[in-house]
Amino acid sequence: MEVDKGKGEAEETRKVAEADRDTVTLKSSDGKLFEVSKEAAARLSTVLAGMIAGGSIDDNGTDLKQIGSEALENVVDYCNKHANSIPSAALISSSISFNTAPFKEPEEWERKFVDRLSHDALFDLVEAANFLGMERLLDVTCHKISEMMKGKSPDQIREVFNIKNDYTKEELEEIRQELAWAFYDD
Amino acid sequence: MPPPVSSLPDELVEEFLLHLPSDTPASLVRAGLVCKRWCRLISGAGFRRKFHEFHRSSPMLGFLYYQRDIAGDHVARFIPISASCPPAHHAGDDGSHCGMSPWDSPWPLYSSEAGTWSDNKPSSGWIHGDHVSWRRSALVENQLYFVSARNKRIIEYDLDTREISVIDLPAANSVCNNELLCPALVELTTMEDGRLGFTRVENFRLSLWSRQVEGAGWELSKVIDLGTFSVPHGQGHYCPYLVGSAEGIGVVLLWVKGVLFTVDLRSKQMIKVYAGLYPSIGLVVPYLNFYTPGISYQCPSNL
Repeated sequence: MEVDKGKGEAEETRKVAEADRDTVTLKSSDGKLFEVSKEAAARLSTVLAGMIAGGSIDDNGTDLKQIGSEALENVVDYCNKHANSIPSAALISSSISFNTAPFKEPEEWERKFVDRLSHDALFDLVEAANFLGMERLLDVTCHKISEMMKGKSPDQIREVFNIKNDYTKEELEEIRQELAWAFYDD
Repeated sequence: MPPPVSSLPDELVEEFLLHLPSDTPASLVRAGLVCKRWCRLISGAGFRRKFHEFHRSSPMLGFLYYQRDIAGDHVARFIPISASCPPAHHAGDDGSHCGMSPWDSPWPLYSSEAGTWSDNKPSSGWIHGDHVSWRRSALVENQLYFVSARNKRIIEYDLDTREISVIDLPAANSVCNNELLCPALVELTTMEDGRLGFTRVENFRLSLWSRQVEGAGWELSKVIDLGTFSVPHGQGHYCPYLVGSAEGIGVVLLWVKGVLFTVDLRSKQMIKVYAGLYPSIGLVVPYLNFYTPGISYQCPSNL
């Protein structure tokens, strides 16, 4: 009983120490460790918030087996940058009647953040953001992907995303005729 | 290594397809032609709903306006403004004739209980010869508001008591005071806090007024400078016409020498949307809608 009590106390002490820390340590699928601001992680990721609240954060590195080191580095980088970013003075007018903006356009630093990513890194980051329940990062990355399609023909989109065309020539022609208005600019 | 997009689950592909712009319907059609899987996702039952939820405010795809045809009749025409917008017969009413003033009486009120029209005049404040304008009305609680045809008064109809009263608008600060060339047209709106509001062009400024909570006065809520539209005409200036508004997205429509502009009341951004509206137009009704393509091609569901 005495031993158990001691163990429990040690566990308590460890948990208290952990709760006092400003950062959490995350471990990628390939074993690399990353420190991230606890406040930002909890605010930006529903999954990490749940783990922090539930005390399932490992001081020696919380295993995130689904996320590679490059994607995790970007996630951590995003969280830390977000923690330091100053909220922009949004153009909110209290007196005018409109629906609230559904999707807030990426801010300048968020744009730069995703613009520098390689194609593969961007898609890995989309998956990581989705896995960690990071709604804003998912929005920012998906927005970037949708912008990569802007003004492009189906052929050009396939080329950008390396997608195989599984339509037959006849099928494509059928749809193009049906929705001819969508191709005036081509 | 497999291409990254093909390895992503449907929910993620759908997520970035949802981010495609809502004001360019063609972008969804083009994405649907990339591969059968994307086509299936875009034409899927839930996509339209999710697209709507994601973008929330319907984009302005085009507008209806009245034009006098050769016979002198007023004809409503639909003009698409979005790049690659579905043709008119998909989106709006094209070519239907609209009567200008269907009633002789300026106060026609229809009672669905009695099944009759009646003539209900306001008790005071009315100027002989004025009548209810056919511009946008606004509903604030149980009061329905209309603009008078001379744009100087607002008519308030109480849906409970069925009484009509007249509210005077603050005097417009106009440069030329020529009501024919520069009518200070009024567009009613409902403010975010539920109060009655209106926009008006005054002296090359777009003013947004709101009704004071206490008392019957008005307060100026916002002013957008329209100085860039100042075009000399004869001795005066060519005033921008306030021809309509898209309530819900905070956009008003201005007509300046045959060109239609949208003005975003929040960002103050002005965008030229259509040129060549002549000789003059009285009212523009914006067409706001989501357009997600229903591709009749049957996308196999196992892709």
